[in-house]
Amino acid sequence: MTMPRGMHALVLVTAMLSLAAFCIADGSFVFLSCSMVAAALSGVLAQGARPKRLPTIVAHTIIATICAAAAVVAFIAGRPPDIEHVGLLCGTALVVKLFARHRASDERHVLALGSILFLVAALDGTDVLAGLPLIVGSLLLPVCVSAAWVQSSTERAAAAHGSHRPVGSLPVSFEPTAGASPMRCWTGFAIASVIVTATCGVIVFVGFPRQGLEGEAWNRTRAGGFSLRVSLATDERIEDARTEVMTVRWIGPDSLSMEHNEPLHLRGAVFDRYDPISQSWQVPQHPRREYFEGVGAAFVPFVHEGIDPRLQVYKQVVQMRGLATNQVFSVLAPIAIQAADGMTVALDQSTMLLSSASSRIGEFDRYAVSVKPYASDRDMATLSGGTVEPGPMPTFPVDAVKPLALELWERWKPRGRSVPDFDAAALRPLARWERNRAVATALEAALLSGDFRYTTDLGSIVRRRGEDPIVNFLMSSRQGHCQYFASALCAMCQSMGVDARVVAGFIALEYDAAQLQYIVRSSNAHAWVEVRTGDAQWTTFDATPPATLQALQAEQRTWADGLRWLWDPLNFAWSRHVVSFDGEAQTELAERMASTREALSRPVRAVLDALEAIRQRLVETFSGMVGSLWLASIGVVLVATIVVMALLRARRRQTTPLVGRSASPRERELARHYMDALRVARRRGVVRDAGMTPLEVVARLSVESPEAAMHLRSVVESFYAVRFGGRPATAERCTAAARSLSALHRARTP
Amino acid sequence: MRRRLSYRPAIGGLVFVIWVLVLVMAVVWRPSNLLIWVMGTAVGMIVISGLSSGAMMMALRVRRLAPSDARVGQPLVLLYEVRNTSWLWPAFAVSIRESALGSSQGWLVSVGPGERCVVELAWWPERRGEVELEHVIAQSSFPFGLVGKRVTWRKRATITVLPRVVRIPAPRLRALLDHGPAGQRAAARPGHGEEFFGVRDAPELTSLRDVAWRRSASREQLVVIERASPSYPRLRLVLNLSEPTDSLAGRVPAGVKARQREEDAITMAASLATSAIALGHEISLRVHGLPCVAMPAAGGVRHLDRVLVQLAKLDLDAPRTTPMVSVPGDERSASVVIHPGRIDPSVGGAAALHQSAAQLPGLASWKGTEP
Repeated sequence: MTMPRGMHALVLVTAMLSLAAFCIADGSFVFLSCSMVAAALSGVLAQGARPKRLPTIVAHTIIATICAAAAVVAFIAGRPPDIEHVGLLCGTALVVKLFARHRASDERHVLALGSILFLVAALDGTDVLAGLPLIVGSLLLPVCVSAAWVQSSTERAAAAHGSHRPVGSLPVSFEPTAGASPMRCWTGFAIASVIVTATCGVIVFVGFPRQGLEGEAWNRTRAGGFSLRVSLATDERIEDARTEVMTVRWIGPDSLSMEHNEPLHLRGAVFDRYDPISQSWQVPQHPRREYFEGVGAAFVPFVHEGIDPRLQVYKQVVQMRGLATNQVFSVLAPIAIQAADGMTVALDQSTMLLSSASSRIGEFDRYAVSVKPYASDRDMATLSGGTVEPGPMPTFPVDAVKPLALELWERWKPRGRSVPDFDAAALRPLARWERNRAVATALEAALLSGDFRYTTDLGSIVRRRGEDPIVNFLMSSRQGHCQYFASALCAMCQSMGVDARVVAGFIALEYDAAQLQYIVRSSNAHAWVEVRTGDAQWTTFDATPPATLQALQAEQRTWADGLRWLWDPLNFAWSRHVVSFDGEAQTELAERMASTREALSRPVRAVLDALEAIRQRLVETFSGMVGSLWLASIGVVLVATIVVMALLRARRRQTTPLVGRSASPRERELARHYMDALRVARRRGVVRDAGMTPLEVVARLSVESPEAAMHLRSVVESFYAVRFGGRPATAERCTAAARSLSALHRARTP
Repeated sequence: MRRRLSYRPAIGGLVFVIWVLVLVMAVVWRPSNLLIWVMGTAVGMIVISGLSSGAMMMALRVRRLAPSDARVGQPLVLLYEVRNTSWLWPAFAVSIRESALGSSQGWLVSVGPGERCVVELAWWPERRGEVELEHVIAQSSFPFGLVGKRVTWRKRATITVLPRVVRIPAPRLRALLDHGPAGQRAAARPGHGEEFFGVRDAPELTSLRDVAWRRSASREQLVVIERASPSYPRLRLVLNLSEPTDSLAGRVPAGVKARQREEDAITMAASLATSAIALGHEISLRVHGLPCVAMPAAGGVRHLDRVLVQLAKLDLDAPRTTPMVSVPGDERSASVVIHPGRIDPSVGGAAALHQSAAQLPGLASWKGTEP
């Protein structure tokens, strides 16, 4: 393959990778398929045997028209184009440019557009399908740019060459007839550049300080639909991917795997305060953490007394598949955990949340938690570390919620039985817990009544500037996803003085009866509410319509789910090692490297000790005059061997440009004789200048010594007959050349 | 041979810096590990650029092959032997240029490790004279065009740019040579060289036609006839540059530069000399007003080269002298006196043909370049 064809192919591949990365990251699969077909077509049409290229002026006109149309549309819409639209524009321009590739500058334009697409893909994508083309393409990009640079120099050389050549003269090839071809030289460079780029990419990826970047933005990158923050500020469509996050085996008290009588609410995060400025829920301020060390196969109880482990105790065995996190997902209330030796688990007694405390990435790939789904108030108090104070009645910071809550309460409050009022609840804890339950039940019923619609696409919701999203959900839009339903319920409860909190995690709906386990997907990420119904007792209230969740689950089921066993491990590895590589992971990696260095230094130290012992023994053996002589002789032999080997290698390297790497030993021998003969001529004062043929050297040497010239001619003719004449390098020819060379050495000047 | 490495900013480098800044802003604005990876590859590109281009340029050795004389209006191809002394790194996309030759540059697409190749640099000289070549510059922005790296070698050489030569049609030249009393006596063909001069021993490979058979028979030894050498028609060129350029400026028509007229006169002399040599004439040259070696009458390409070199070396800024040297009479020579401005019949004698530089367009066919 020649240099231009190789470059065209590489640029086309890189362009297709950039299109794929962008389209997958953006979810534009129609554009992906169209652009891929167009790109492949451009490879056939514009770079085929009879290329039919789009004229540059036409291509630029098309691109300018598209840009102008996009600008007009953006002006009419009244908002600037977002990054996805920029990506679509660049992708379209790239496809058009692919049909107009003619010179190296066109290739550079394609690469520039491709790099913008890579940037957009990196901004938007966390999926492995977007990430892999991006990584491969970003490694190929420097290679392509360098190839375009070489091609550009070829074009300039041709232009400079044509400036002083007559019109109509034969085209000049810049591929040298001898030595390494540009393609071969450049291939070596390309491989080296890919290695260096990958190394630098890995070093920067691992070493880039992420501590200052952690928080809201960084958590976005954690794949799997679960987030450590519930924010209502964005109107983006929530993730509905079918990626398998984990499998959960639910084992009943009789030690048999079973399906629970209701969906499992696997808790991952708890939020008890709403921040109206950031429009998001905040985690509790004062966690009370207890730490427990794993002991292998045995369960480590969180409390040793006060809870009967035989009564209504279930076990959930979790196998993580597509989510790398330190959170331990568990049903309320966990009472014991099974973790590997040396693993530390933290239990937050205020929220009953579990997490890994040893900050190892994906440490809990597989764990088992012993839970009591129907734990009594006493059990919960025991787990919470003793007596829990009732505390003050909560309030909600957005005043507009309370009238709405009261209105719904009036409509949906239980008829026929009395509910303690606010003042009574403030005075007596029992009345407070009873009122909490009644209010939460009524408001949950109101949200489940059908007046509110579940949707994952919030793009159509219109919200006034400064309007709180919860108020908007309750008053005007009345549609949203689970976070809106949970936020609304929690907000209304808190505004009426009810202790409530939002919980985020996963809801396990899909039970695989063949495997006897729940399959939890990223689309099962869920939010619900827990209301305090005892001193330490919290009851789950889920305001999201369960029928809707079931229907969505059924709708999203496709034939591709059958192949997920193949895909999900890759996605999990990607998510675990790439997407969620954060500051904690960096710290952990540094610790691992330190321990590895320590482990590696031990054998090195052992080798050094062994060498020291050998040195001591040598000193003892070779002491004295005789020993020194022995040592000196060995040293001389060693040095001589090294020098001879280096000389042989240098000679071999010298002959390579003459006969190529694939030459036979006899051809190399002839080339050596040829070079030696020219060297002898040089010693006799006949220096071969560039552009001087060997026979000219012979002619000049014949002035000084006709005899030497005759022998030189013999050697040169032998070599040329093999190198350029297609004659075989026979032993006789080699012997004759060697004889002529020795005669050349002996030849005298008259 | 002194070598110096220097760096020059490039447009590509500026674009790349903007690209990296955009990346950094994107990482701060919307942190993502993929963005950090892309930033890492950008750092990799910087490392590759620094490593490869530095190693590549420092391993190059450039040698200018002996330059020949140039001619105004015709390209001079300078050759450079480029050697890559590195055993590992190939070199790509290197441009070679001369500091004294402006923007003309030759391009080297690639040279493998330990290999050498020859690069052509085409230069179009615009004025005659001597050009001092001092520095050979190898420059490259490979692999990404971020920074231009330049290695400079100090290698001195001189190129003589011969005057422009225009084609004078042979009939017109013959008419010119036959003009005047002296010109009419100048033979149109070589002659007077076939007379018997003597005999001598025959050297090897003697033509049978030259053997004097009778003498050989009488001497019993092979002898050949030696004839007198042929004599060719002669053209004496006299270039009258005795009038300083400033005083000439007042005599040329408006819109015409006096210096250009002087150059045209030199061009006319060079063209006449070249055309006459092509016709087999002998030429001599004498320049009035400027220090110049008087060239005796002789024929052949080498003599023509010497004449053209003398014309190329004429320094029109030098002070003019006014010796009125008359052309010696020679019954076999035609004399042509060339004046940059108005014809001065006192120079060159009555038998000479006087030509003004303004007659050059009419004398020559401008479509061709060289006879």
